[in-house]
Amino acid sequence: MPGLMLLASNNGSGRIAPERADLRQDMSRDTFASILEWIMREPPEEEPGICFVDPRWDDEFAWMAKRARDSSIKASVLTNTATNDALASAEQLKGLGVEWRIDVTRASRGQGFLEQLLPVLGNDALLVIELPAQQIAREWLADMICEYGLRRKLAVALHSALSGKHEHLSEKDYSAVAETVLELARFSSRFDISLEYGCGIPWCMFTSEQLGELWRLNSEFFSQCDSDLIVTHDGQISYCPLLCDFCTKTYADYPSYHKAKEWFERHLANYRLLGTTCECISCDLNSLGPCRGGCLGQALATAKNL
Amino acid sequence: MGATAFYVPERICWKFMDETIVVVDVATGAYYSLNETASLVWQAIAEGNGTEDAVCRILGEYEVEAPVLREHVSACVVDWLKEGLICDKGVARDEKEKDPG
Repeated sequence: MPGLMLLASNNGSGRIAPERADLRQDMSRDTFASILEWIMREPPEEEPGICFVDPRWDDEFAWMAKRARDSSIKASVLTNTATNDALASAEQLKGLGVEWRIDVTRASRGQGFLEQLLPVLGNDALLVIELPAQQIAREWLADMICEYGLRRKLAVALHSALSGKHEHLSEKDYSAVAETVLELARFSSRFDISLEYGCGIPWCMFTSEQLGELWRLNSEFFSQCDSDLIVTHDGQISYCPLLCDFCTKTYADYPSYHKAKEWFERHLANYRLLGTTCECISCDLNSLGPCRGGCLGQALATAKNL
Repeated sequence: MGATAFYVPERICWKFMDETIVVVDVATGAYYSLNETASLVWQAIAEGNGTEDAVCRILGEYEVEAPVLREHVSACVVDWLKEGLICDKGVARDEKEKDPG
């Protein structure tokens, strides 16, 4: 789903680095409306979306979610459900088709609160788990999904790019994490739950046999590093929270979202050659397609002369 | 091959990968994977220490005659200059002085 990730009006309790106080500032309604119009100026083939990251559950958020829906842009939230207001907001927004991506790894209010919230959300909710995770019982995840009719998907995040910190999975941990993913996929498939994957992992984390098994389990792995552009309260856009210091533009510099995304892809393409593993630079999967060499933020974090 | 004779232009980025270095020309997409000794030479240039610094390090780690090594390092530097991976500070300065703008 092409779109933007909104890093504004953040409640400051979630994944976003706490030191980024600027991300808690509000975006004006005018700027928000202008950005929606900017996205739709060249409507993408797939349904466009805007994702609110750990929003404050206030009237402004509700207004923005409704305004997005009215502009034919799908609204979603990525949340750790840090405050009780999330429950009221879930009630208020019911029926608007807002997708709630709930980070259960960082759900600071605990399982009890989720067990209140998830029945309200039902099929609007998709659970997100970060690996390697602290102990989260997979049986509990499957129970929640089945009992409350949540999306039969589990989003697996293997990096914490959204935090804006370089908390990368180390190459030496790849094989152990790959096996953990496989076990989760095998377990989940018994409940007709499939896995989807976050960005930043190269294909070579998995062996061919493991990739085949994931495919058979209906949890096919795709190596991605092409998240939605991010936008901050003042209309600054970047490719990813990890690349804010490397390259930031203003949305109004481009005639449309589509053109901005194209520009970032073109500008960053050759940097991808650096890759995240020793093999990336000469790997056809990276240079010709589908791998992209893992997380670009990780690749550039140790590069020189940037 | 003075201590600060060369520099890495802006369009070139590089990084360590274990003991070796990969170099990418982000303007063209050309990339280079250097072996261990070439990586030492590259690092010396990129850090502004000059090639003699690399020569000393290589002599300390490998069994090689100094004149032979210096010849190889010079050839390496010439190749990188031709490829545009590094620039000669003197030439850059001369061109700047010629540029009326």
